[in-house]
Amino acid sequence: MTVAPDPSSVASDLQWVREESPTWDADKVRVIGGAPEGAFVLPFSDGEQLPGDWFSARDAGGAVVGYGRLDTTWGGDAEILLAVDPGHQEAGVGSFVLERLEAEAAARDINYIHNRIRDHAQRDVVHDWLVVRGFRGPVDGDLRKRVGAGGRRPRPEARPASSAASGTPDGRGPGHEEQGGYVDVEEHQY
Amino acid sequence: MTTVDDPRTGAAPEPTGPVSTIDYDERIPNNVNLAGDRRLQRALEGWQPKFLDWWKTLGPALPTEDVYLRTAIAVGRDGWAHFEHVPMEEYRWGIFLAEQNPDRQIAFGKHKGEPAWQEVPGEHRADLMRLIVIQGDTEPASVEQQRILGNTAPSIYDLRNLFQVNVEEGRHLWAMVYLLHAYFGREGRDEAEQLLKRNSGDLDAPRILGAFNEETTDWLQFFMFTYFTDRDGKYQLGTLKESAFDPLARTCEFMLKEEAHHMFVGTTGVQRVVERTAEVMKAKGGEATFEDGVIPLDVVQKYLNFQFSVSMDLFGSEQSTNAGNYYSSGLKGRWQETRRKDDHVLLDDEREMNYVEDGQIRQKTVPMLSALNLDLRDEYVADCANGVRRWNQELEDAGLTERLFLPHEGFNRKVGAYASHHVSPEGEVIDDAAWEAGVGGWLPSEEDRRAVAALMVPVYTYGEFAPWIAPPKTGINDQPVEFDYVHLAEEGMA
Repeated sequence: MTVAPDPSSVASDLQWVREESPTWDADKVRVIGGAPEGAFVLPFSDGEQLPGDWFSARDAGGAVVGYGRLDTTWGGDAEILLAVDPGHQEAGVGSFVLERLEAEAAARDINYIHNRIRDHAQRDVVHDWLVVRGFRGPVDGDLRKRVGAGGRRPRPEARPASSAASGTPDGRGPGHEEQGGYVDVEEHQY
Repeated sequence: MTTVDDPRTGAAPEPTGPVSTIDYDERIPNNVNLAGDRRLQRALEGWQPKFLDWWKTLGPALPTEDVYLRTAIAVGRDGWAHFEHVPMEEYRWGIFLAEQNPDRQIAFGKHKGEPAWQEVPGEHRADLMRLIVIQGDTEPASVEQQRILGNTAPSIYDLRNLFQVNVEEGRHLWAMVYLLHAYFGREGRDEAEQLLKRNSGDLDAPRILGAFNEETTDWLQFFMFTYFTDRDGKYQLGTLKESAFDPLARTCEFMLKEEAHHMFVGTTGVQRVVERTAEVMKAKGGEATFEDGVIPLDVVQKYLNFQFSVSMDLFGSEQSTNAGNYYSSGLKGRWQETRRKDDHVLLDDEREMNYVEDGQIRQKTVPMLSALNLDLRDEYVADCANGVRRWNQELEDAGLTERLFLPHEGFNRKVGAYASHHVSPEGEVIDDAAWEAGVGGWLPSEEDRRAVAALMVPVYTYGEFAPWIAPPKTGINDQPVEFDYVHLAEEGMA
């Protein structure tokens, strides 16, 4: 029988640690490898360096109980990975990791984080968990959430553009960008 | 040779090679046989009024009667443009894909050598939709960022170029929306709606990428944006042009033909600013200041530093699992993939990558597949350097010794290996105090921006130019520089 740890006692003692040189190690095998089959596709070998920004959630004794990762494919939009040690689930670790990941993303001026739930047995449960925490999107597609304060100014007031006047349909243009023409990418000069 | 009577139409050789004409009889001009797919046509006709509402609300703010704009009439290799005065809200936004090569094969990744996909494979649906949404989100963003620039245009020629860029960014949105509607069902339609609901700088629903939420405050920033940030778009489009998903590849290929003029606007815009400043420096025999009515060279450098660094962030982290997966899956290739001399699979390849350790910039070897964002960024940086050389030629021609330069790749970065470090423009890792002491000389201050903005007085007389920028050498489509490129509405001239 597994007894879930008391959420208040676990989450309040957690520490958030950035991994300066993340590698695929025994802790990751234990925590990420403990997820339902198919939840993650991380084909790394022991000791291999890992792309992305990795963080661990550690208990008061320093043991890793969860992982978070940001994969910034573009500036402004990052995919998150979130994994909790099977022995510490339903104890607030996932919420802790998500909150910290959102803060890390916001600190990088990232506007949205996204996640896609892979095909596994607890897919609907994970989808509900993310939706409750502000993500929007289908169970089989991208779930996206606004984070941080990337917006810098209020929406401009609506102002209609001018009404029309007729044009004169005449000219045809050559293919040079300095004259406004269309140019194949191999021929770009500017 | 085509002969026409209208004096505003320049000589133009006939296009050569295969062309695919565009059906202008349709409500939505296209070369994708929209008339043969009534369901898609209805869906896009439902989206069109929302797009027009967006354009009227967040498109160019300066009232105009009409603008001398190019629109596509053929999409063959030579890509052919038609020029005429058009009311902007009647611009023929449409759906144009480059010519199809029925024998096209996938050029990279695990599907290399297989026929290109004409439909979306189920296992790549979510990733492809994300790529299209991200690309699509940038297109209307720049229109929103630039909406008030027309009020301070340095000339009618520049005003026309701004509007040309704006309408084509709007058309690029159409291109992405077509793909979402045609290939991604209800979810695609939902995402197409969101492309009009997120807005640049909006607190609750900003545009996805950081640089597309920065305000375009003045024309120097517009030229820098068009040079550096649009160029990021060019390189992203170049990777999607290689995609195994053929409709996406063909869409992006034609968009790249349009982007060439956008690059021209940025390159020559900055060049003309530098040319004018150099003239004053040469005449004075020393530094030019705002009091001389031009933009000082050190302020041009600060604008360059800013726009280059925020555009570098658009490439994401140097290492990305997703970027590698996109490549291996055939969704997104490398810049000029087919010209690369390697196996186009990259499973065994490595490369060097800079990182910061103990206050030093060091190098490490990483798997190539994990570092494709960096690969693309390197190509981009090399291209950016070409423009800087062109700008420095103006200084050299004026007999000046001052030069502009690209800052170090680690300068002012918020994404990737340099994100938690301060790096000077020269590439020195510095502490917080040194950064604070130096940043005022490296990035535009509020005072700099105010002083630049003070020069931005509109010049709407045909053939005249604001004193801070040199006139161009030639006009558009063989028209003279003083051509009536834009007819302002009466309220726009007030």
